[in-house]
Amino acid sequence: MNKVMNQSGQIVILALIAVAVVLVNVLIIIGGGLLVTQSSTNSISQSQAINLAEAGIDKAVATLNATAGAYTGEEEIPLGNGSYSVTITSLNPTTKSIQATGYIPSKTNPEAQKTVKIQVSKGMGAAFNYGLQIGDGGLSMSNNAVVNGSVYANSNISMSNNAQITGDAYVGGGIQPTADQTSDCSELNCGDFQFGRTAGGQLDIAQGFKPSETTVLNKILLKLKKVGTPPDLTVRILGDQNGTPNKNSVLASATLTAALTTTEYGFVDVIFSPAPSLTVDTLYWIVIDTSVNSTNYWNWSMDTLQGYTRDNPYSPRWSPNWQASSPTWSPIPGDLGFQTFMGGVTTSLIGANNVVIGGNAHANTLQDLIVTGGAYYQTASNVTAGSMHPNSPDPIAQSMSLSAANIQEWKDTATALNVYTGDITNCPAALAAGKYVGNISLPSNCMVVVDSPIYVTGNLTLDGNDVIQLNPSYGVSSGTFIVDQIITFNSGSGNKILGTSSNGSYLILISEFNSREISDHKSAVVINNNGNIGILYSNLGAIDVSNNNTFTSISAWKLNLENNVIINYDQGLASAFFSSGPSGSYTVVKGTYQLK
Amino acid sequence: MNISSSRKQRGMTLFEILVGVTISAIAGVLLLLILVSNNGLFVSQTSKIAQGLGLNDATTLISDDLRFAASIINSFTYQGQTYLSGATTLILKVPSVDSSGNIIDQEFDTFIYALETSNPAIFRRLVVPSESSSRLATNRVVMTDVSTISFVYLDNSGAPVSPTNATKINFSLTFKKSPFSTTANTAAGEVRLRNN
Repeated sequence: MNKVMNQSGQIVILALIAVAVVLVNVLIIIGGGLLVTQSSTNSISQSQAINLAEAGIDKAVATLNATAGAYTGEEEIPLGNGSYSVTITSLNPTTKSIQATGYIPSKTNPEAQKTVKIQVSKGMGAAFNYGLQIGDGGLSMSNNAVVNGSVYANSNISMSNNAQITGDAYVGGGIQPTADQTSDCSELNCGDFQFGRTAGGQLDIAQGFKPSETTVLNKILLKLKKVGTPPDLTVRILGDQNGTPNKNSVLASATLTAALTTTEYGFVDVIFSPAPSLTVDTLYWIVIDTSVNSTNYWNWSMDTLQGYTRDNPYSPRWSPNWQASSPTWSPIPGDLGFQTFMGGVTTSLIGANNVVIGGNAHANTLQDLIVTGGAYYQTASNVTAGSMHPNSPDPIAQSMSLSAANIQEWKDTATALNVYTGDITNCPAALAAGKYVGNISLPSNCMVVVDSPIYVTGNLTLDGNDVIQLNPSYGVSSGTFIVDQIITFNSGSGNKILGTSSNGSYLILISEFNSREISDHKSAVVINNNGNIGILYSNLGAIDVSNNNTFTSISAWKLNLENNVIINYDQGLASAFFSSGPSGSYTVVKGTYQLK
Repeated sequence: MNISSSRKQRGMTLFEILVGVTISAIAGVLLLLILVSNNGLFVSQTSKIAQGLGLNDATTLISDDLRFAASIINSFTYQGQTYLSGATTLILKVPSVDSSGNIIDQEFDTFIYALETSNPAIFRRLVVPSESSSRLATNRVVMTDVSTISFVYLDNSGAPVSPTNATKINFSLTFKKSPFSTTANTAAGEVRLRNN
């Protein structure tokens, strides 16, 4: 009888063990599930905390600009599921560090918190992406000239024996040298047409034009100024429908980079890729599309005399939404400032004996080249390449790194700071930021420390072994030295244009002389032989660099490199940041974002 | 008395034994089934839990690194192996930091996310610091049992571009299906390079 009872008990024990195992497993699964839920919740909270911290950064930049730099941060500000705090620290007169911390759900009892730190400075960023960037005037490289980097030219490149480009070479599809259509105002007839500020109001703006020939439209220039820090604009070319833009006929679209505009009016490039084909004497519309922001918006320069007549009888228009099912277009009482540049000019990259392109070569016509990478072309002769790509489209023309508006803003800043009158012919130890009315001619072996921006209305001449260096107080920021007339490095050789000693700081020497508009194309910058160093920039000028010089980057309307000139491109130029002095607005310094 | 004693000592009938054995067998089989089924559920759920935790960690790590990155590097050779940025490999150029955690100007470390060549189910993150960086060189397993990894390189408008031109990255990570599971664990994200 006892045996029988013991056997029954074993079944019960087995069942209990099985139930216990199941129970433990279920509890482990439930616990694990809770752990995953907790981990996921924590991940979401961490992401929300980052977003709150970044919101704090955005608020801080906007408030710094709205209060002329008086904002010093704030304690816990509730937002959404949490809150953020902001701390501002001044690093130098033009640069501040912003540290923003996001908390979920609150600072006093945070389940998650993240801190974002970033630097802002009064100034602007600019990207010099090429060792050489050349405009419509083209590039000539003599024997043994070498570019250690890439080259982008909007017109022909010719390279003599043994010349070399170690990176990529691009020759943009040719743009015609003069504007096909122009609308601009003068003096008292200039007005502002404000847009992008009010919801349901003037958000999308259209200006009509008729080309004078049938070909592609490569580029337009728009005369704009910004208020605050609005985002980039989308610019489209639309066909016409009964005197208003035809939303179903978008021929081209491009982005207008807000960084190329300033708070003063200036023409800003917009380049279309692919370039739309237009028909002579047909009405087309330039349409700018923007969003609403009551503090960061735009003005388009307006000619109240309505001097542009080729859009008659249809004046410019505005719409709250050009893509609405039935968009409404209201007239604007003036013509808006613009220029159109047609294309269709065939361009080429022509080499000679032992001319090497180390990367890819892109041009309509390639000739006499050794291309290590791919050759992209319509026509090619005597080209050996890693790979051949016939029937490739022409590269689009590129905008220069600095717009006319950028340079004008630096000039205005300099003028607002100080104005000095009279030629300088001795060797000053330092030059303060400001406008110098007259010429500057430095004697040999002169070392000058400069603030930024410097604006010289006359000529700049360096005799030999002169050094112009940006004041070390600028740290990693860069500076500009702008000359209205001719820059000459005399035959004394060895002149140097230097940033501070910090990595990433550069001093850009700019000539505003317009070689393009004069018949002999007199050079804006003349560099004589041997050992000169620096970065040169001339939107409208020709630059001649004689034998045996070494530059970091050159941008010019037209460039001639003589024998043995070397360009050693510095990657840091792709993210240069220019301090603009006390009158500028705060912008984020690229490369300073930190998440902690 | 004898009758009673003889009744007590009488064994179980064959029928009783058969019924007892049958009931025991059914109970045993049921218990076994419950145990096996529960074990399968346990294995699949614990695997899912581990994968879920792994995905959370990996997503957070990649997102934070992408935020900090200045750009994408096309190719990088480290310890004799050349890595190429592509659909399953991501090479980030990340600002170096000093001992205080502050960014060093124009100095960059390299972060490599790649599948192991010898075992493509293992996804690693290698940190290669610059000379002056205070970051330590590390080689860390981010995920095991990886089924697929995907990196898509995008520009500001969201259009696909080559890695070196990318300003934001879309990524997705998928684990292999666990035993007893019908679905694979996947996580995805899209992050803009804040220092680009």
